[in-house]
Amino acid sequence: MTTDVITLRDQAGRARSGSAWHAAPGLLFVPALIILVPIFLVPTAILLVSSFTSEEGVFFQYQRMWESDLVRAVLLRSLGMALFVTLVSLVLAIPYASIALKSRPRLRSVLLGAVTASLFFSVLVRAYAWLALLGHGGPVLGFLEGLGIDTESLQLVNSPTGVAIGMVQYGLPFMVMSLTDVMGRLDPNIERAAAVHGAGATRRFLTVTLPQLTPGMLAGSTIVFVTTLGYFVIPSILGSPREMMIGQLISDQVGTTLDWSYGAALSSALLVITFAVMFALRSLARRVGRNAS
Amino acid sequence: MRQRRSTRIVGVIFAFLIVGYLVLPALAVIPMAFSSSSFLEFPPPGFSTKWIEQFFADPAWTAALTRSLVVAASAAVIAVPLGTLAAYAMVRANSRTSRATDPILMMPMMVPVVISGFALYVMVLMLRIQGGLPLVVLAHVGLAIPFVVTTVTASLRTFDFKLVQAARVHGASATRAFLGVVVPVIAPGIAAATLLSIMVSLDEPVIAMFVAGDREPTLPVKMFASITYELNPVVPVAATVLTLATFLLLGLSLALTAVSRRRAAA
Repeated sequence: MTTDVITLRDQAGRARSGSAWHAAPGLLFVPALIILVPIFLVPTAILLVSSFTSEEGVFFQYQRMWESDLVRAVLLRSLGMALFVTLVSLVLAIPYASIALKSRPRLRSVLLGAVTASLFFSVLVRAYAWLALLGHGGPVLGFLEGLGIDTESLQLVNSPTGVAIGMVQYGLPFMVMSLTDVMGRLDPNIERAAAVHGAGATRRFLTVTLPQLTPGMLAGSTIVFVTTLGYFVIPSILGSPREMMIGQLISDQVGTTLDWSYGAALSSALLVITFAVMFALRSLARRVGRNAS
Repeated sequence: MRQRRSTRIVGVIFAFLIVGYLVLPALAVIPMAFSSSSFLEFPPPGFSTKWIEQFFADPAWTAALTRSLVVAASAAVIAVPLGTLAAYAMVRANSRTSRATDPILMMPMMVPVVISGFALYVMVLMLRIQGGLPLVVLAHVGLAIPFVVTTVTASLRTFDFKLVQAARVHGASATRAFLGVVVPVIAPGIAAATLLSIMVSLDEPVIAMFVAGDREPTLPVKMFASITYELNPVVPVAATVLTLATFLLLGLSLALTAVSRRRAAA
């Protein structure tokens, strides 16, 4: 931090002779930082510090969290859900992206355009619509009944199933966009060479195409995993309070139990896990990138 | 490596199933707004406009709609210039400064909104400052900045900065060169960033709920409360209003892309 302030000041000194545009473009960061530092950085830092200022002791809230079965169950459920949603998005996005890129220009722009357009749709509206579509008396259960499946015991909303359906719908476009970005730049000659050497379609895909897609898969997985892990809106509409996720547990401490210090400790646990996952996937991506080049 | 015809047909069917999964559910709210039932039912049992009339006759809902539009417009008006300047800095400043600033610029996107909202809420109480809508606007500016920076940076990466030098040589001031040369060229990127900022704000219930929730609910806050606590039959109308706003923004962005493509071709 300090060194950057010094660089900025150096640039400011030089700027007096010219102008910020040319001599000190770093100064153009300042207006955005004037909002982000007091509205996001400082409050989050204060929140994290306040998790240590409980009257019962510095690590009291963390000890409480560590010993709580509820917290353990909620964290495991959130991690499991994030992993599941990421894997399902990957499995759906890989064929989708390759079908889209291999089709004729008109169809390709429809398929890729639909993905981009769906990012614009309100998450709140989509979650609400799923509530009607997946609920009892809704078209999805009606369709399954028509197939002769016993739907009495099926609980598609107010359950982890509903959360997964909503979260995959949210995450899939990000995964497709990360993959098409990489896929579009692949050299088709490599796959052709493998075909000439007698590799079948499945083998070509597994040993030639898939490894080259790793950077896109990792970038997409990072976005989907991290957003699913801490998401609040979709789980609270489509999930059930008995099987809540970490975002809901934090919100409960703020609104319902008013246990802010505990909520702060839960928040820092979520942040630490989020950043650890991001860091791990990013260094993995860097290693893959180095091997590839 | 020609694919067999049957493989291709199965592939296209799969792709359209995915498109349906991504796009159709958001459209289901439109027929529900015209439902005659007071329960959440799809397909609706009959046609009626009573919920639409009720939505527009209820000052609580129309006030929430107005608040949302004002907040989204204000947030975009602030976020787009700030984010554009930061994107310019991202491309032009030395890489050490950019790399050090990047995490702060991207932070609102990475940190779950529950935590950002909670943190702002605690700060408002600690400092005993007035929360309310102005703070919601600032928070939405922060949420939009990562999108603006990413979008505008992408446009600036392909910008030829020799054009700025040329303008400077001919006597334009640096600010004038920026407004007269850089901005018109990256205008499609700036327009996309504006639409994204509006959408981010229009679809954000969590921070708005923590900061201004009970007294001045925005439309998403009121919708979220109605969905989770009472399942009010007016909610599909509110959802339809949001979806139509989305279509408007999407249509605008498609039109802008078409215009910029034509200009690039010329």
